[in-house]
Amino acid sequence: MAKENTKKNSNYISIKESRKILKYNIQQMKYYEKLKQQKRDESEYITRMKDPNNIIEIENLKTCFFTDNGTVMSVNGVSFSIPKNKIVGVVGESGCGKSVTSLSIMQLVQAPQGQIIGGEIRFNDEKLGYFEDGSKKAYDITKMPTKEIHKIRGEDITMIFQEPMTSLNPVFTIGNQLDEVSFIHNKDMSKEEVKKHSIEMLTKVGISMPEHVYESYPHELSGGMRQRVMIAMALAGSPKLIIADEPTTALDVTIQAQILELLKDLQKQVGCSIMLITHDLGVIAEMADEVVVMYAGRVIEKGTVQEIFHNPLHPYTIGLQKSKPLITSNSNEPLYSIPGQVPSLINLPDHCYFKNRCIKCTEKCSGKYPKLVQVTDTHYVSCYLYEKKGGKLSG
Amino acid sequence: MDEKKEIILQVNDLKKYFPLDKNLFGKPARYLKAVDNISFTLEKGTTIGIVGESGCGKTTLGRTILKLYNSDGGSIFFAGQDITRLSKHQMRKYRTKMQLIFQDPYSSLPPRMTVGNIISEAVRVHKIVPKKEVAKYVQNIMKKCGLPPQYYDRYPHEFSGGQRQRICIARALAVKPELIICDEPVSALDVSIQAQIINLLKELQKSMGLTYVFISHDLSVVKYITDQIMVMYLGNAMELGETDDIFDNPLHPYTQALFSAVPVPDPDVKMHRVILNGDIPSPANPPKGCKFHTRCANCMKVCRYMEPKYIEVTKKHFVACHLYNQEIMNDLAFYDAEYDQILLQEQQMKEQKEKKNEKK
Amino acid sequence: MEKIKEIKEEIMNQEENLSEEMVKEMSPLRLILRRFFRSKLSLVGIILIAALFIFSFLGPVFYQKWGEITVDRSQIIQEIETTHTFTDASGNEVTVIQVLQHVNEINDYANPSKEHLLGTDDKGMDIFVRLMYGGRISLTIGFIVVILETLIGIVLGGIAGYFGGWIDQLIMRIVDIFNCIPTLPILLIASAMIESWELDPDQNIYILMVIITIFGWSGVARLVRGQILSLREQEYITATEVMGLSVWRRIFKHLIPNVMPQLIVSMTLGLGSVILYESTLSYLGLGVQLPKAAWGTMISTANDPQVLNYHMNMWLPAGFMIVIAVLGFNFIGDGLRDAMDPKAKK
Repeated sequence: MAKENTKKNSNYISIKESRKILKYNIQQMKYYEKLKQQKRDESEYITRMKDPNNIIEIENLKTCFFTDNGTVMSVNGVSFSIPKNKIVGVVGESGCGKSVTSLSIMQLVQAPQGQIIGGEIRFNDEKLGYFEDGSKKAYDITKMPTKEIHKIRGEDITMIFQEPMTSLNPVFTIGNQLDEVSFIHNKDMSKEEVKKHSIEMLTKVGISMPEHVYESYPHELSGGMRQRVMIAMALAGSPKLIIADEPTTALDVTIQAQILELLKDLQKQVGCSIMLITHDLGVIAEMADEVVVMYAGRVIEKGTVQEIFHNPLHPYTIGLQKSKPLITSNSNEPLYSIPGQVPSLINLPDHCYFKNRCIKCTEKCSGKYPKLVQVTDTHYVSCYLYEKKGGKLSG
Repeated sequence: MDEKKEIILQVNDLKKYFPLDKNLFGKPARYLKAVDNISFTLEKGTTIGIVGESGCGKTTLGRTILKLYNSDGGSIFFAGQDITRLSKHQMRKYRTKMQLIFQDPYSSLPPRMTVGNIISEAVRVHKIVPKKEVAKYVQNIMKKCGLPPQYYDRYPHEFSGGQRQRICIARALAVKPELIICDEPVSALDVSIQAQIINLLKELQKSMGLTYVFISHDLSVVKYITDQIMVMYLGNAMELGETDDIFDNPLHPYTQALFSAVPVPDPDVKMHRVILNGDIPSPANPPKGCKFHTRCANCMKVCRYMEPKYIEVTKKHFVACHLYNQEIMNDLAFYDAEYDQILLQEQQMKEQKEKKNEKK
Repeated sequence: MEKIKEIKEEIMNQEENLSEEMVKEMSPLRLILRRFFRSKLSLVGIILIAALFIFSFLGPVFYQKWGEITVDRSQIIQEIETTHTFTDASGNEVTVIQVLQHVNEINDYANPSKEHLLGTDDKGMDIFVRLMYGGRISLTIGFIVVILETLIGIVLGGIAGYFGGWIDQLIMRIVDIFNCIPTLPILLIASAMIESWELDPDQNIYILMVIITIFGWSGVARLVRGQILSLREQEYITATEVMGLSVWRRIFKHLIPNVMPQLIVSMTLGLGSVILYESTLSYLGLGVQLPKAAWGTMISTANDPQVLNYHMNMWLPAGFMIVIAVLGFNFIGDGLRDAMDPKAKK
């Protein structure tokens, strides 16, 4: 009986371990909070862009959450960049860190549990000039003080959330909420001008009766309409980068088609970049120019849409594409499925995280976590199958 | 198809109306027609897919078949027995035969019970196997659903979505059902887990001879698992037919739009999208005539005032659209004229009312 | 194809073993404890209440110098000297010392001393010991009343929430009626009536419990009904219906256990208020009657301005005990609420 008991409880953390975790967490959280409180000179958070054509460059970003069960490495060394006027899609399953990446860009990670513990996010602000040697100045968002980030957040970088139901305040009219946003960005406008601007925004996102919608409350609108309003709010400050976090997941297929079309049109019109986070490969294929595939807090493959969809290299990307049922496919064969579950992000060992689910797993895979290997100019993959002789192997 | 195959579920003109608001005497004045005149038959061992957008009444249909809601008309035959008018007590006999799998694997498992207890509870209550064999039986079922038996003593919160859905399936299977209503069983799951669950459901169907009613908004999933498909819009069936038939040759404009709206994971295929305008009308206040006419690209005058009949275009392929009704299409001018007349009448009525108001 | 399948199975097996080792979580109980002790106040509450229990229930066992109603009958002899000075006829000053001997049969109104740690009251009974006995009564009444209230609340609230319709209407209207009864006047009338029955003090306590229960169950019933209404929307309750479980099994095995966390919280918070209620009633002379000890009755001695001004030791400790008890239970209740609320995942 006693044996059984211990076996049963082996899945739980012991008191000793739990104390250790708690102590470690408190110490770490204190350290990072202190770092944030420090006064910083402008020179400390201004760095140079590697490529001035990028709007944002993320390098080796690490964001973790100190939880009671241990440290969750939600984002574990993610690097990718978003070029100007492009749509970059970030795909991955739930818990792969795609949302946390976007929150890190906005400096919206839930503190004190969540902390950015390393890496750089370089934001290319037009207002900043050039260095003497000609390279472009940029903000490093990870080091920016909270006061400074307000200049960027909501103005240059905006966000569209998944749930149009909960991201609008139910007690104010649409007009109220839109005006508020418009006003923040154009402080010298009069009330009438602000209203005009807001209605203009509503027309822009394809709302047929903008005056009527301006007066209504969020609950009077349908899900699709609310998402349009959210997009209007995101556009109000003429942003350089829009982060769309699963913008169509909560919507019906026919409405999703409308919203995607709208987003695409607006992106061309306004001339901004979009970071499109989704788990739907179909949406990515339709919208994105470049694709970043994430798994368990890491980028496992990135490249252009054509590369990712026509020549996927990483076994996970391949599996993901195969396991998605298609309208056009034959239904008699069983669906391909990736076995197993997404690993827990606590105390991950230093080998490929996909190892246990991979059908192409070799002995090498038990070694260190594979580095990102460049296959073509734009195509990177992090898998031992393509190391060194990467160019020759083509999946 | 073998004609002798046993028909396990037959639904005839099923209706479910929810009262919206009540007048002075406590009698409902308006109804929300969540399910309106739905009929289909389902053979043993096959699957029917019910497809539609949110608010089209597909979940209500599933629960009305299970008699979680009382129907307001029509009849349900389960294995030849009319169960429409059975009382809750009489219904208990059939409960184990029909099961439900839910969409949200998080809220559909009781948080304070172990996995073993969740699965075995109904087995014990209905005495499906002798008491001594319950544990063994449950572990067997768990194995079938891809759950290691050592999970028996764990609590649901320790599992991920996919495994929770497996527990739900195991719970439903434990009472040896013949019909399972799957209410969006995979839409809350990740793609790679979705495939696992779909394969599991298909495997179980083969090995246990189950019959599914598969409710989903995801057309590609439905295509994979169903033999028949019914497309619903605002409580009405728009199209019903065999899966291959419908996918190869969708007839109803709504079905066509629905198919073209699904994003295809191939960047080179830029499909000719039929993007529907506008939103789904509120089911509480549906448009007159054909319910789809407000968003339909092929809308004619007839559609605005006359509800389309359900017609069998080819064998076993039904559609509710005037476009395929030869009688109407041959005589379009007549119906146009009729519609104009109705419009005129309405306008006159309005004018009269205005006059009356002016007089007052 | 088959090879791939084999490999897949192998991986599955591997993965099972791995997941066994890798995913370590806190057990549900520990999770609750962790959240409970996150606030220092709940720890304070636990200490307060534990101290109170030891004091009231174990105290009299070890400190047996005085009983609950033993009167200190040691004679206190007070000699009062008065000096009168007056001049007699011859002009000499004469001093007369008058000695008055005051013999007190009982040692009442004593100040704190070694003999009586907190002094004695107007009847010569030891206040420190009476505090212990008073605590016994307060705590017992508190627990019994809260349990009774909860039982009635669960049954009525459960029935109302589950069945709905006219049953719900009926029960909730009764709850409303109980909520709008002016408690205090009714109690005063009741006390007059009870006094006229001339019952012995023990029975009085039972009547007190019944009265508090009658006025307290409505809140619990309302809470249970609300919880059950929201639980009924949960899919796992729908699942029990699909499974064909009986109505009673669904109420008592599935619905009530899921209301329990909220109930436990409300019970702990309720304990504090019941103790307050009991003290108020005892203070008004409704509850525990002299010579039985209760915190409320002890405070009521402060009605006498003399006592209020010069004998603080007679009423202040009892008041202090009430504060400790109510605060302690409220701290614990708040801590439990944070611990058991699944939404508060901080």
